[in-house]
Amino acid sequence: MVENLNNYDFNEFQSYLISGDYEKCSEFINTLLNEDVDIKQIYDGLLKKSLYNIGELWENGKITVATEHLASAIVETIMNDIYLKIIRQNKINKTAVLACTENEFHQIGIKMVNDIFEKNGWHVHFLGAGTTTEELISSIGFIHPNIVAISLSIPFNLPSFEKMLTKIRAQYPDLYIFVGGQAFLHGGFEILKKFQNIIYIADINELDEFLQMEMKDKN
Amino acid sequence: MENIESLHELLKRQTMDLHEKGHQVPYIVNLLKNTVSVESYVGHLRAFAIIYGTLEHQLSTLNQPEIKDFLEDYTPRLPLILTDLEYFNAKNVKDIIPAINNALHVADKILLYSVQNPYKLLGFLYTLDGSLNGGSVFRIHLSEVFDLHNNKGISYFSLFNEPYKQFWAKFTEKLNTKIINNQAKNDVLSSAAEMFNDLLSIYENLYPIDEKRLGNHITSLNPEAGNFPIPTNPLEIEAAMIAGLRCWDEFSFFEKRYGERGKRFSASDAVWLVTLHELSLELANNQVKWLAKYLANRGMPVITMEFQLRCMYEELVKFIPDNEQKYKTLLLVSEQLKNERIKIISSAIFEKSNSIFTEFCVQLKVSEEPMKNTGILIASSIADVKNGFEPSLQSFKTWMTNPELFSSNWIQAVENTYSAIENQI
Repeated sequence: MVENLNNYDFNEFQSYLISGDYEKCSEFINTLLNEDVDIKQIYDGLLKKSLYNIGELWENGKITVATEHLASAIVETIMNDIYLKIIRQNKINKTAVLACTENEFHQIGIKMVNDIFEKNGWHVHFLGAGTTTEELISSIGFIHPNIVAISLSIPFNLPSFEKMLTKIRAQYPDLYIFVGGQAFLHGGFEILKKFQNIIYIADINELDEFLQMEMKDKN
Repeated sequence: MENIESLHELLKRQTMDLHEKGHQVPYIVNLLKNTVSVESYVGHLRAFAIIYGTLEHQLSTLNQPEIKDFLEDYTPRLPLILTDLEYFNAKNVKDIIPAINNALHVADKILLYSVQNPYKLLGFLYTLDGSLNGGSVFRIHLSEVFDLHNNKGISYFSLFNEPYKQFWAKFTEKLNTKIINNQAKNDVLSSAAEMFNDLLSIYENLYPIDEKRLGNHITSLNPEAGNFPIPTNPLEIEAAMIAGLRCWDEFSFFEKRYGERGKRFSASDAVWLVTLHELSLELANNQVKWLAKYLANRGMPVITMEFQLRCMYEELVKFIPDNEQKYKTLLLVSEQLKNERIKIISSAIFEKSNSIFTEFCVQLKVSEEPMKNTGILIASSIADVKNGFEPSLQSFKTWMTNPELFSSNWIQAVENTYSAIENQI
């Protein structure tokens, strides 16, 4: 079993992504899965890290926005391809609703969160990107989830995020809300302190640990 | 003998049903009955601006000569659409957000196909420009509904003229003769149908309009801006636009280097910058630095951002004096950039930098028109390197000393100014 992905693996995968070679990327990920590499390592150590790097290359003018888009699209397709291999079939009696902050259109992070919930046997309602606060609140109303998870990728959406939390809290004062995403690398924690029962989840490893602990507690 | 249909015939045949469907979409029905609203028509133009803006830019940057060959006699449609939007004073017309989202989805696909499979862009162009064949009918109805004359407000739909017909004849002829490979043919066919279906989705969202989904979208200022928040207060938008223009006036190299497309990006960046006043100082600062670095990489020294933020604060306070405290964040971020800059190169040197450059220009008998504040930009690009905006210098200097753009004397004056300022630090 491969314990850690090394730089060689990482660079190889990233070069396939940048050249837009879906076949090679897919082959690479399938090899890792066959070698029993943990899905969290693949998501966090490979896919996320590659996309962050590729984002930086675009910011620095080294690649075009088109290349960056293609890399994201390939990662999303790969995640769809491997989805059935990683989710747990026997479900537990827990439900989560997942969404991006209003006006956000980056949903790869919240898709990873989706898969970790499902890997732990949760029922998940994935609303994803482009969800309005009203739509999210209405979904909470008929799904009655145990947890709502909201992703925030871009710091300048913090005001939208705060408005979203305020509106949810007004209707569901006790509901547990998990929050996370790349935006929090830049700050924004002062907003979280204004609300009760908000749990910041730094990455999918932390989420997985939390969900496994939760499961142990129930057993 | 087998009767082989040409690609153009196949394209026409495959879109026949879709054409039929298009005529039943309420927006098109309204248009043909002369009952279309200005919101719907402006929404149509805005969606097309997003799609054409991305498509034309991507086509212009492609390296494949076999694709470029199809663009012979093609004139960009985006400027016409923007002229039409301007005529309708569209800034006062709300965006139909679902139609904008449809168009942005198409723009995303254009970006993907431009690296994955550029032949698909030809299929997109076929459907978009093919719809202009019916544009002459739209034009008649639109001019009646809105009482338009001399093609004002309908210049895009008035394109169905002789030069267009020539382009179209050549384009379709090339589709038939130059695309031989079956895979490429299939790509053009599938993408043409895909674009047609996307257009139908856009039209479906243009009428009836869901009032709850009307709003202000950044793409009304810059069709290629993508998706990010803008202020809801029109006064803030206006103040940001004025600040952006002041910046372009102050640093006239913007016009020469980035042209009209750059001006549109400058407008969308400006209105985004306004939204930062809602963030904490630390976050606003991080965001500004992110954008400053991104722009420095593309040749804009950071002093331009510092100046723009100061202008923005001044303009916002002029428009909405009651919010002065809120807007102060922008001024504080600007001051922070200034303090970092003058730690590396003193204010005194900055003040002298323009005259240093001008003196070299005189000495070397530079023939070019001077560009305002060139010396200051040179000094800023030097300071930027030490402030973590490393690419600023290389990116700015490479352009300023490009022999295809400037005379050898100008280049020498720029080089001398760099040396003179570096020697004084």
